[in-house]
Amino acid sequence: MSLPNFMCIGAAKSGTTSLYDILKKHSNVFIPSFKEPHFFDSPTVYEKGIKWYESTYFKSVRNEICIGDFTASYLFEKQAAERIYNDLGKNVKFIVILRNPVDRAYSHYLHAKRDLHEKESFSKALMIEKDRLIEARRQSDYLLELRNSYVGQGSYHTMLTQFLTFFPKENFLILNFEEDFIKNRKESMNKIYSFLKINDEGVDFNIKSNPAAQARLTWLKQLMKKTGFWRTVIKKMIPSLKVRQIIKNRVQRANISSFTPEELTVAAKKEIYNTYFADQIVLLEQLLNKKMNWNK
Amino acid sequence: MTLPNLLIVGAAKSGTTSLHNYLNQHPNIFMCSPKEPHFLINKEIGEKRITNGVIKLEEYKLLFEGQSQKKYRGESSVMYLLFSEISIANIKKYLSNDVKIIIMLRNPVERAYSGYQHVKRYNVMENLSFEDALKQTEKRYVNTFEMTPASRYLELGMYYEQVKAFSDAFKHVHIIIYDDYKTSFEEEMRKVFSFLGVESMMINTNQQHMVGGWQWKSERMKKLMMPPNILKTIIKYILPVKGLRIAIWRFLQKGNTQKVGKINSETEQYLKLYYKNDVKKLAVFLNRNLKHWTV
Repeated sequence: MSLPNFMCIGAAKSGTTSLYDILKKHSNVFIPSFKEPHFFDSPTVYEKGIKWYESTYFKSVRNEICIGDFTASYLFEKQAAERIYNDLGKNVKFIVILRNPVDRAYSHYLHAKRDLHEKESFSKALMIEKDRLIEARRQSDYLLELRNSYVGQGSYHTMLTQFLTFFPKENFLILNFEEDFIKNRKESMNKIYSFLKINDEGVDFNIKSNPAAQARLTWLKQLMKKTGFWRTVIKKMIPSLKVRQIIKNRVQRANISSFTPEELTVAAKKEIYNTYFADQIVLLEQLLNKKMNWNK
Repeated sequence: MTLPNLLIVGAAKSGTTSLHNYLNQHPNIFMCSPKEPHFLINKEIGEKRITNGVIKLEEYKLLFEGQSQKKYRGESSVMYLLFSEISIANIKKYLSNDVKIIIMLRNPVERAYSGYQHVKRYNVMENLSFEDALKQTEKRYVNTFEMTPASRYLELGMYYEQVKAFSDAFKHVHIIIYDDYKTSFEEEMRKVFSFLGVESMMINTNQQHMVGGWQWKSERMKKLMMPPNILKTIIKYILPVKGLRIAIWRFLQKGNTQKVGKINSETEQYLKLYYKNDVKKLAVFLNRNLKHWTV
């Protein structure tokens, strides 16, 4: 039996699942089939102890060189770094993918919205986040805190600093989501392989982040082409079914264009960036000595 | 308190039986059996419509007896969503405003077809073709007081008003889209657990629930396999071991069923058009793209 020697700790909504799917296929990597154990961040899970963690997730480890945990919220939780340090020691390696924090927050928000958990507008939700987080902490509801922290989980400098108090910089591989992970996938994967000291086994790395989104896109693409054809079919079909009166009741306008969630305008993005993230990113760029190019 | 504080309210044929059983694996959650008591609507819609429904409050409480130490006691009566007015009023009357509500939604076109196959499979009262059943659905339901609401194939998929009613009435409502549940199961389970405020856990998915896609080869065989209650009692008396009864049933079922064919493409187009406006309203409400359901 063994415990993890590397982790992908975030950020949430930044491609960690794709990376998980890629690395899971590597013969020298073991990652539990349950992607996010939430052991080091959720206080109630952590209470169960390291033995429980090991036997629940890592009992089928054989002789893989790399053993991983892909909980994307470890980066966010203040106590996670210390717990990892205490339980796993100072040699754990960390992969971190950082995405434009405005896009990250908006993606997070859209998910909450479509699960019906979020009833506020995006800008209102960001505005009241601090109060919400205080309330969640007061109730010691960590999961609620996670759900509400659109800005919090994009405060990359604060979050990374927590980890850097316990682990040296060499333990981290930090990737830019847009420029590295999306645009230069091959190069990013090579960096990851050499960081983990494993070979490139030619595993297919062109996996799209969220499989659900991917499926939707393929259907859409296929069906979009058929629109014209289907319209003719519908016209021909309706009289034969003698159900026009029902359709009339239900479908007021036959040719309603479908709904796609609004994208943030460039101006809105800029404003949110400046209000909530600019300071963090300046510090982050200093810390990493690298430009992130998110303020565009 | 032995009443439920967690309800999966629908929609029928959207993965609720699977979720019901998977949630029951969690140490802090108890999901009752049978899964669909429909206590909160049975009296109002007519007691004969739903088989194995629970009518008395005392019987309803019994389903959750001894589970008060668990954080959640749940049930999954999938017709609550359709009868949102009745069920919301009764949730407030018998349960509480703080009940956690889970709604699962599947493409209404697929749902309708799968719903029809389900009723045809398990209910002797469905004797029409899908196309004829669609034409008669509401009329037949109103005129036949034993007809199950599961036969309201068109109405059941008009999600927008149903979902909005629940979302307006309760603070804690969680939506799962069937497509996501199938493609990103772990992620969806994590979101459910997070919604419930219980720790995320690995689910054993070895057992599949309510596997559909089959149909009886003949009406005669179906009637034989769905005996009236009195015959059931006799069979139970002769074969007291439940596992054995199920095994025999499965054996006979295997030889006398066939795979369900695909939906007729004209009917499919009709349904897509029928649901298009409602799906759009739902998409706006959930702020997500559901175009693929009706294009």
